Amino acid sequence: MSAMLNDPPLTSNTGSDNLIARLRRRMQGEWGSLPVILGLLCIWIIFQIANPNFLTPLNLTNLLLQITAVGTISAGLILVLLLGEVDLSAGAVSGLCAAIMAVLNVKNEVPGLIAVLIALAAGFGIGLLQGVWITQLRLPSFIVTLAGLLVWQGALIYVLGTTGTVNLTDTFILGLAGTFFPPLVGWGVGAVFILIYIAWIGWARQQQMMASMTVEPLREMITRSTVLIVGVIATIALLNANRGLPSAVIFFIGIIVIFDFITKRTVFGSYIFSVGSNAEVARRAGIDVGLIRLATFGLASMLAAMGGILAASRLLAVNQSSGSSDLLLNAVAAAVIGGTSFFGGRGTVWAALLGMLVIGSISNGLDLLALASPIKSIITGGVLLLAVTVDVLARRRHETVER
Amino acid sequence: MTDSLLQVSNLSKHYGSVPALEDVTFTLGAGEVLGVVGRRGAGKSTLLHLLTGFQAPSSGQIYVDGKPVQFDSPRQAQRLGIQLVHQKPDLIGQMDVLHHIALGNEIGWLSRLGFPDWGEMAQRAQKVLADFDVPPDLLNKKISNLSDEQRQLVAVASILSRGERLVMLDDSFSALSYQRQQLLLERLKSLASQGVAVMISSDNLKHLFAVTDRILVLYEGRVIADRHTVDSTPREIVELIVGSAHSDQVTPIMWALESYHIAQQQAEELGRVQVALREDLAAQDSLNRQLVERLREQLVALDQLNVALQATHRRLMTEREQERKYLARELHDQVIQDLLSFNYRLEEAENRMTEPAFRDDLVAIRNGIRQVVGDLRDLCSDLRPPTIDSHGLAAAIRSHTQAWVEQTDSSLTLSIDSHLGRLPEAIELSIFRIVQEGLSNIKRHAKAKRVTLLLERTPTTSLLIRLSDDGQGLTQEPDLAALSAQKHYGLLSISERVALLGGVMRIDSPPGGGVILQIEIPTPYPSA
Repeated sequence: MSAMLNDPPLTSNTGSDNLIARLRRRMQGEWGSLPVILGLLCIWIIFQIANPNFLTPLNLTNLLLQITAVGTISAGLILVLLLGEVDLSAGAVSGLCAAIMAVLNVKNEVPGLIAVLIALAAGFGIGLLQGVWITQLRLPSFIVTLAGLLVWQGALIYVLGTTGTVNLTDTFILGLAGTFFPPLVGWGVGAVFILIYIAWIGWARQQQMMASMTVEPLREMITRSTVLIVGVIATIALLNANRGLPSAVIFFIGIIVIFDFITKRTVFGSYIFSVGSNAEVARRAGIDVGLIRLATFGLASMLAAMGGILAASRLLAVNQSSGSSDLLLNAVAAAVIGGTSFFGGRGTVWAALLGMLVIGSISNGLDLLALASPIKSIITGGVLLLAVTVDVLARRRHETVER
Repeated sequence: MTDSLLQVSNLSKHYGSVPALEDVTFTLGAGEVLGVVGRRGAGKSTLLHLLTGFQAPSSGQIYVDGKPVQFDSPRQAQRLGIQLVHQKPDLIGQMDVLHHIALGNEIGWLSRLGFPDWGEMAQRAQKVLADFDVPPDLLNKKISNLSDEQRQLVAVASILSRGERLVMLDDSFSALSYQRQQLLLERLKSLASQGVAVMISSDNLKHLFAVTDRILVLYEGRVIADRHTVDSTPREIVELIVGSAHSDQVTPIMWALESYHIAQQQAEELGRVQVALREDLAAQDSLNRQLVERLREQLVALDQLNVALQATHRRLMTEREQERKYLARELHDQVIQDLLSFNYRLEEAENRMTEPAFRDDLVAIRNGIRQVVGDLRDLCSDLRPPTIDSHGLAAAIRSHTQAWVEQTDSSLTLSIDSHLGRLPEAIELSIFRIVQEGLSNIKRHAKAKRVTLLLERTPTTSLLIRLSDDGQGLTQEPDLAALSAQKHYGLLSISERVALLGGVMRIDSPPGGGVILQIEIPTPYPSA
């Protein structure tokens, strides 16, 4: 039944009926990110009409730089959401870890790389600590991480000490987000990315065929790859037209690719999905549910720390408001707008990029239009609600079709 | 205790103050099949859950391979090769079957959580599913699209693909079809023969008696019996399950249990038979239709053959009549005329002859010639009734009957429809021949005094011929289909002619003697 729904015979492909049917299928099926992409295009067109400065290399580079830090945090949150849990402490953890790094580097004169690694380890440790509370004592993650939010916010201020602000000067730390590579390097990275991607999908497809599993129709695969490759080339061309490829973007995309691979292609990833879909089934199957949860909380917090470090590197400082305000809420919103289910077991790490692009574009575009921050918040909220509504309706329809 | 795979001593489980299981003690050896029975709530599921780490016991000890163990999670039990198939399969709807069967038992490289080898896993899963007669394409289906039976099979297959040492089934049969239940029992038997221990909790005593070595009976959380299957009867087990030996209590339960499972099995058998029957009927139906079709074709062919045959026959008849006509004319115009002219010349010679002895000889010869001419004339009129061409059927029959009456001592009443008119030559001749044949039959066999011949047109423009006599009748009822076998050649020839003309013929032999031959021939309108 589902095979029939997902891959109908590709005999005739003319006529608008067919196109609409295919679009609908993609919206309901695996290609759940299509509505987000369409929404993003709409947003861009609207802002471009309102302000011709919106779609310029300068502004788009800024947009990408703005979303990397929160996007990284969002990627971690998606892992937790896939488990069917939530991590409210991610923002505070990002601030705390950035502060640990800054204090170690500036006040204790620890080398930049070491300070960053210690900060990442601290993030991982914080995640594990919260995870132990959640898995061993069986407390709801909502409460544990809410408590964490308060605790780590306090810890941030404590770590920063009386000065309240630590300015970063270390070249390594500042270089994390602040390096712009020359065009040739940009093209090189893009080419490597594309080559690895093609090699990967070819290998994965062959594996699936060997296991006589259903494979995605070749035509869809090619379409998707083409879109992706064109996207990569366009992005790099765009970035090269301004200051070049920023290292922060490489970090962000790299993290997404790595964690997409982990969630989709490793046994660990499939365990995350199965625990998120039905923990009891996972337990019966002999999966160490506690361990999977623990590891995921640890990874999520580590990604939050990574996001905090990227933010600090970009803003050249860590202060008392680092990781506070709407950082966490934007990260959660991005995950959900990108198509990650709040109920677990459904979503992709790429949602962090897509969702952040949507939120970042709205914020950036409204800034260009010089609108006040309350309006920004209202509009972002509206888009979030719309995204979730579309997602839930599409899923309901998908389910009724399937039954 | 080294020879027992599993040993359980004084195992208890309390929910608050409510005891679910109390002081359960038993052992299970490798390759042994143990059945667990009891009423609902007797603690069957609880026992299996305690043994597989799904629940923790309140007290008591479990030993595996003689070593005390404590399971905090199913995973720990599974690590020791102890697996449980649950009563109701709980599956993740969005997963496909292959992933689900492999879940928790993935094969891959770079550690357990690394990269899965789906080819190897698919092969394993297919092997297990093939034991249950499941086509391999099930592996690609999504769980949410499966039937209840398929879901149960996925749950069973995912346990049986794991290289287990002790398999427990918690009443996992009910969703399966009868046939698959048998396959599962077979599979469990073969597992046991490979040294795997099996525990089956089930209500179906038939199953248990088919495969188990021992049966453990639970009653209100306690083991009240641990019997060797061969030493007990279903009735004893039911008595123990119910906790009473009163036959008025046990019998209806026995009966109900028996008939429930039998009914289930029969219903399924019936369903299968019904399907088979439906297929059979469809096949039969199409076969019948083919046969009928072929029969029809053959009939058509036969019909055509018949028509061709009749045409040939008719042509033969016509040719024969033509031949006869030609012969008669030849005789009449040539031979008879020649003879007459010889006779005339002989007469002249006779007149010229003076010798009386020669004259007498000549007279005798001339008389002989006249005799021959007479005979030849008779022959001619037999070959071709002389009147039929010039005066028609009625005249020909009249003249024939006159001659016939002269040759016999019967009287003949002839009645011919005055509106008979002229008919096509072939028909007239055939009718004439029929009458001729009929009369000669009467002359030869009937010894009749009175004969009646009737020819008349019926209102439906057919021609009716009725020839009746008061002779001795027929010795046996004539069968129109077997005239030649009965040596009625006269009647046979008549019936052939009637058939060629497309007519019908009836022969009646009334008890008082005589024969009535009645023939009806469809004729075209008279030509004149």
